[in-house]
Amino acid sequence: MNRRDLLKSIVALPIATTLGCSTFTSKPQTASTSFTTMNLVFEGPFIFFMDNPQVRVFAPKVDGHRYLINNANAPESTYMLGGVAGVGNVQKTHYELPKGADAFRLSASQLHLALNNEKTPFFTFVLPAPDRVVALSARQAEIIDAFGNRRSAVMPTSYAFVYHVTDPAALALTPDTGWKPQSGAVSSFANLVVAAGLPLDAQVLQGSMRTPPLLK
Amino acid sequence: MKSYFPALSLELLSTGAEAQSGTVEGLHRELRPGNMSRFGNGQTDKVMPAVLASRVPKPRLMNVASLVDCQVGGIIVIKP
Repeated sequence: MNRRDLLKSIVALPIATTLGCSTFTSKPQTASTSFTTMNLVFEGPFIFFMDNPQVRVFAPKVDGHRYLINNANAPESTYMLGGVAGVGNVQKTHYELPKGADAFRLSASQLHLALNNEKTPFFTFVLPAPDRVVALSARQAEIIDAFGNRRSAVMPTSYAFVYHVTDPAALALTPDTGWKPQSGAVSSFANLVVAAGLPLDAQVLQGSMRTPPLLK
Repeated sequence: MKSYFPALSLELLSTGAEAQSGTVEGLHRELRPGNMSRFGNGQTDKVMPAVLASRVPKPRLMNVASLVDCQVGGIIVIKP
């Protein structure tokens, strides 16, 4: 080896070493998202039965309605959400509802409401008590309330159930509908929308429906 | 819905337009209120041709303002 060759090898050595280290210490291309919060959104005519130890959400079967999970038709089933926790006691769930929405938040004991267990919903969600329930959208409504009084009220049409994520790796819907927490996520917030209702084209065909068939 | 709680006497007479009432942190833009994700197209409310829609078998007048009036909300039943 002459002097020139020796210099070449010395110059090349750190580069080769760096490249070698780089190869062995390379990190995965896609790091898994560390979710901290889960927003579970319900749009449409759902019944939210806020019971302990678990909340049950029902989507009644209605002719012509579509039932969507994450914007895709989903099969009739009872679903559970893993990887999240709530406040542990539904009495501690915090509600953020617009003024006038009290008409649609009913006390089972005050109104002597007992759930008819013979009904078979299309969807049932069995969930922990959420940290928060937030009405995202609402309509003005004329109603005869549960006490028999005719009045104006505000009817929430979509709600978000907010949970804190306890195990991001276990964040999933069971049975699986194909939803992945990464779809629709915003930074550390996972989002899932469950919707029920008439599709727009069906509404067009049926024409004006000024009096909704809500409480049949 | 009433059949789930036979003792419930609540009646809905009419409804108005849908509007945002609240929000939560971290919602994807397409999931925010008013985007009608239940229809699966992620589009917002829009004005449509008032006489003929492609899927309607014959021309007819439509009340555009009531296109989504049959979209109804949910009820919360708390215990006790």
